[in-house]
Amino acid sequence: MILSVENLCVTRGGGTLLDRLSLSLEPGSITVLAGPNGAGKSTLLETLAGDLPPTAGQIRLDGQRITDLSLPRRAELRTMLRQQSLIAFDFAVTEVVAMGLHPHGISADSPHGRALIAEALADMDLSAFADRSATRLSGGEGQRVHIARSLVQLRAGEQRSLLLLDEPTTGLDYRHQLALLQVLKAEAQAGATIIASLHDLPLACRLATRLLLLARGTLLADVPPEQLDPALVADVYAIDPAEAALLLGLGRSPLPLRLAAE
Amino acid sequence: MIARLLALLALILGATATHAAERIVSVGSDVTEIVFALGEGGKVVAVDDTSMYPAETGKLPKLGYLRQLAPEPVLAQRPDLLLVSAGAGPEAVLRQLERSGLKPVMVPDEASAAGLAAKIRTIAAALGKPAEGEKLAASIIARLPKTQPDKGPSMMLVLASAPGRIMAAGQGTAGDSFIRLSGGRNSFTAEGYKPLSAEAAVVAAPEVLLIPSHVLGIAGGLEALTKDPVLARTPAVRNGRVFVVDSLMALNFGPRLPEAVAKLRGGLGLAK
Amino acid sequence: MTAAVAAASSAPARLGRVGRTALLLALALFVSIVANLRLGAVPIEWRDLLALIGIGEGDPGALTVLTGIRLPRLLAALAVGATLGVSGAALQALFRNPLAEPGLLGVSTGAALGAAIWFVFGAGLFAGLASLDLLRPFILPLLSFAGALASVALVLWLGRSGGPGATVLMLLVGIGVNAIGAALIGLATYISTDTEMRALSMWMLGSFAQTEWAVLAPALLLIALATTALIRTHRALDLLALGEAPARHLGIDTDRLRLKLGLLTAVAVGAAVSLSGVIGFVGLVVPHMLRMAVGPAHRALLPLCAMGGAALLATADLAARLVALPAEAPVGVIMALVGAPVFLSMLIRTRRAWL
Repeated sequence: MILSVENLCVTRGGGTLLDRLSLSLEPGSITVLAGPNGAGKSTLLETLAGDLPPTAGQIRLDGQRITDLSLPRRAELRTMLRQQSLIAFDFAVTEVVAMGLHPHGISADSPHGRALIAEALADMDLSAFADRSATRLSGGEGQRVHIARSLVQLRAGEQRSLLLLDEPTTGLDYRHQLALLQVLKAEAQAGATIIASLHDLPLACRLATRLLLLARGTLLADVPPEQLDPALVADVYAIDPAEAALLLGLGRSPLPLRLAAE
Repeated sequence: MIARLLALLALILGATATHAAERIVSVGSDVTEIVFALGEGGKVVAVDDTSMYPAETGKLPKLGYLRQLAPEPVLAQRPDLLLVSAGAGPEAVLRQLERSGLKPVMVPDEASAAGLAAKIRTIAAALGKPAEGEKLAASIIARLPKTQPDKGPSMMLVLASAPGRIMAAGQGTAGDSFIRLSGGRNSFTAEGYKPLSAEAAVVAAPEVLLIPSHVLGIAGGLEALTKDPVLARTPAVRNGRVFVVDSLMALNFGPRLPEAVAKLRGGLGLAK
Repeated sequence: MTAAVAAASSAPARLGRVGRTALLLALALFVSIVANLRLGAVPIEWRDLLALIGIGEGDPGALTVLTGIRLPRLLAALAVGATLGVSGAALQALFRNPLAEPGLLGVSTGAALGAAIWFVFGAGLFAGLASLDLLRPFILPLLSFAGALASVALVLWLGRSGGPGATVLMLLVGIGVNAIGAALIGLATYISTDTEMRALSMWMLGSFAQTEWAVLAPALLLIALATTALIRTHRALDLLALGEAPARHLGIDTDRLRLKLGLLTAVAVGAAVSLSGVIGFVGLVVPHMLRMAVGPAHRALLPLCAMGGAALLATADLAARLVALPAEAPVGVIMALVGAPVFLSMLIRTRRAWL
């Protein structure tokens, strides 16, 4: 799925949240949005997801304007994970994860549905939690439930499509941050187009094939992570250049991404 | 052939013509009192909650509040005559009873001397005792005083929906009719029962205050009521002209109305 | 027990619990229906009940009471109970809050205002219609139904912003519309006579004593249609538990869903209230208890709420008919007297389970 953005502007209440952004994302790519608080990362993701109508500019999914697509059709073509929200009633973890099947009309009781749910639960280390109430988990465990639900929604489609993730590592411990990175890389290899916002620069550098640095609604850099300029990072985050270099250095590990032995 | 048809017709007419009722359900305290006053109390098998006089009603099954009747409790008494005050309901229940073969006799409930006579006539007709009805109505009208309300003392009848929440009986209420029949002027000129403010009480300045007996319980006693700031400044309270009247006797416009009027006029020192 | 057990059980176990709960409710429903038909002020014998379903012959008088009074009344209690149970669960899903109920949208206040108009102004406003015996039974139910619909329509229209926060706005608008309705009812009672005011307050206590076939039949049709449509939204209601934006991301048009749920509840509960007057607590107690028994997934929850609400309200009406013999008690009062303590004890028990 190709996501193309031309000259995107979003203004709200007189303020410019996004200023003339243009992008084109290819299947197999993992784009990470980085930038300080209030840079416009969540606004960009919400606009790409079709939640916020752009003030100007176009967003196209494989050539179709996203605002022309019906909500059910959008849900088939793109998966969006927002920053964590509370679940209102005592749904079991499996039931929440199964909600990802809804846009594709797959029953949770069908063999295909059950396999997708089991795979996502395993990916997020949730198999043992399957029948626990999703409202009684810790913050990080809850986040893993929502990630698993998004994985189901992404994988249940006829082909891997667009995956939008807003701060998906919030609350995750190191093991599950790395597990998430592994899963996302595998999904990109399977053909998904992934765009995620991350506030952790070392993690962003390890995940991204392409890094977007955003500040005050403006795109300041669109580069492979190893080409990101420490001076620019120091400037954008208003931190010492030595700190910026340290952060980027941490992200340039020569090690392949892997989890500790079980 | 024609003879047989005529016989059939006679049979139908005979069946529809009033035959003496044996089992009466009476709904409404005024209705019940009139049935007893007409000497048919022995045939009453059940009454509503408001029917508390005469004492014999205490032993009868009570079928609930007159505005909240249910069909089955009435039917379970197997009445052959159902006398219902016009204020009773819900009307859907009355329709259900009618469909079940028990047509309620609706008794008008206008609070006036003429209204009382009309009630008596309706009930007497349903009981098949029209002559007795006329006699009772005439005797009641005769016992009511000939009054000239314009020259009588100014009065006010007050109720309380809760302690400290005083209402007064305005125009068109049973309280208003009772005041006029007793020879007084109603000093509260609003329509219907309305909340009474301290200012309105001062403006009305009643010389006599009437309090229905059931209100004493709600308001916390006569003393609490007369000390209420709304009433305390009225001439009636200052001069000790506060009279408790029997709620049923004075306000249900039943056969005991002349007694209630006479009792009040006695207390006021007016001619019977 | 309930919540902790619900959390620790597997999906097949949950399915088993749904089956068991359904069986239990069906049994309760059956017992309640038979008891309702058999027991009451007028004696009805078993052979009369058999005659009702075409076996043997019963007493004609008993059959008149059965078909003319007891059966329509029972059907009304079942339908109103089912409606209140399902609508309660659906609105709780919409507002993401187990304490939500149709009253939040102004259903009860609107219906009561309609009834107040009839009791206070009916004689003058509808003199022509009311004099026609054929139409008269319909005026009060129609007015209360129209009041319920109008009030919900006003809430939906004033709160029609759409987008994030729309449900909260609707809730706040509901509070405002309820306040206006309550003020208008207060005004109507102020200018009413004593008789009119008492008739209104009796209506507001809630009762099935006045159920007539002519009014029941169209109300049943509306209730059946609207309740079925509510039950069919079960998947969308599940997804709302995630929040409105995530539900939209899964393809649910939450603005349309909110409108649909509001209108369907207005029709269903409006029709119910026009049959019985205001009856509280069914819509709170039934979904809450069943959620504890079978979990929150609405595919099972909504039909079970229909069964549970029907069984509960039919039983409450049976109690209303029996506790005060030879008279009756208002079923709304019975429901509140029994429902409120049960509800409180459930709340306290679940709190303990969480601690």
